[in-house]
Amino acid sequence: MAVMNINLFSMMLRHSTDVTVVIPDETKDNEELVCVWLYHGGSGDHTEWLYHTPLVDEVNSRHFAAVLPNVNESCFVDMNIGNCYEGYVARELPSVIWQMFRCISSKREKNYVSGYSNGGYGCLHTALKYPEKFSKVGAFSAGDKADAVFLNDGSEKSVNRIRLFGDGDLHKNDYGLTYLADRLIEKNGPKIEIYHACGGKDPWLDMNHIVRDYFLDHNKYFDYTYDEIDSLGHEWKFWEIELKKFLDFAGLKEIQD
Amino acid sequence: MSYLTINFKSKALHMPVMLDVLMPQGHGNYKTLYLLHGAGGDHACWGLKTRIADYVEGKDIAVVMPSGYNRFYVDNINGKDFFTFISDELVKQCENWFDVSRDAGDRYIAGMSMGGYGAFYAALKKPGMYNTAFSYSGLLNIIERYDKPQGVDMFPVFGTRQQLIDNKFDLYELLHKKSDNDTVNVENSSKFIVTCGTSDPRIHMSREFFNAAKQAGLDVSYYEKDGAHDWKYWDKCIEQTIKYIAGEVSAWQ
Repeated sequence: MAVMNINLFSMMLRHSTDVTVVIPDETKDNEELVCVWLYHGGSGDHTEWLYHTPLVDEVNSRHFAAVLPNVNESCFVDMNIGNCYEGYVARELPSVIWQMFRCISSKREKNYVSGYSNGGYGCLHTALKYPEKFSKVGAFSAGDKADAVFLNDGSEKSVNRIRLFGDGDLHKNDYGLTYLADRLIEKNGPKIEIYHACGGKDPWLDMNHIVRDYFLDHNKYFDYTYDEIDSLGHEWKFWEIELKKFLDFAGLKEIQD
Repeated sequence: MSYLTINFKSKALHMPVMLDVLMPQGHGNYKTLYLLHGAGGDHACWGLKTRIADYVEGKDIAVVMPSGYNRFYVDNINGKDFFTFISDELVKQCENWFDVSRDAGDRYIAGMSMGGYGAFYAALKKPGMYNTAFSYSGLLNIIERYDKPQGVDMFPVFGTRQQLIDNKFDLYELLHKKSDNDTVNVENSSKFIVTCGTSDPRIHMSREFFNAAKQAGLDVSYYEKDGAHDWKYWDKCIEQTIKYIAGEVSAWQ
């Protein structure tokens, strides 16, 4: 394997930031690897998939490239008050990575986006908004931020919500997943394959069910699959299992020697 | 420009290695400089001790900085195959990973002290592999260095003094037999640039090698300037080298 930490200046963020790229041991001349963009959770960063899962082994045995960006606590969107993280992670970074790496494909059918928790919301948000760049999604423990109860009561929680998304109804703007999905259906955009999973003991299981029910209701527009593991909650043990299931779902099978 | 720190499993060395890379964020097909450190250094020292990141900013040049582990960038007699790593595996790997040029005319190699020896060794062993090789304060007389190792253990690298000679680790041997099939091909060879600071105690190594290389018919230039065997001098060297590769006015012309 090759694990690469890349420190680069982002035009969108106006500061330097780190992104981790994992490449399998063997790459052939002029090979264009499938690229899985892996999003971190609310308090995570570009390293956590490396430290909490056997990602490096998966990259080798299934032969693909993984890109792990860092967007701090932004949920991978352009903040209402703050940095343009969506511009960075969904617009700027893909072109940087595709330009830099000869061995990584820039084709839609070879770019998938996955993540858990805030990154689970984030990867759905990215794919629904940029379906011309990403063809498959693996969203774990992923609720729609639009379904979270919002009380504008001056609490830390409400201040953070306003900084991220503003004080509006997210079912009616670009931050809402069903809003984006409805727009995609309206304009008859490219079809996305969605693999969605939640632990039965996840404290936000009900929010995941709302997302599930939306996509099941709109299943002719999306290739949608849902998975639930009753015994697991909001934890790495679950996300590790689901990452492997998603990679299977995406056709990245283990290569036998 | 971005700064990559890479950890990868080398097949030539049978171990994981660290590698620093400075990569432009332009439109690809970049020139590449393989930049070697001296004894006691590693992949990080050029980035930490010089302003190389400033010098390559905005230029279409990728800089690849491997670790050499005090092993002189040769296939060691009692150790690992560092020459195979530097001149074969690393180049193939970088040209597979990144959108860098695969043209030998866009490939450069440079180093200071032990790395100067390594850069010239690679360019002499593989004529036609690099456009230009640069030696800053290079240990270009390896037999003299073997006899006065100054704390660096030479036996794992070169074996006995006789093994060093028999295995043609001496650059002077390679001047006359530049490739493994013993054909002297001056036409196809890299250009060589020898530089040294005038207060470097081993400046005679650079002066003498330049004269011998010129006599052998190589395209070789020599520059000496105020400076010691230190990073202050090598910082100036790398600044001029980047300008040279970028095709700008440089002290090396």
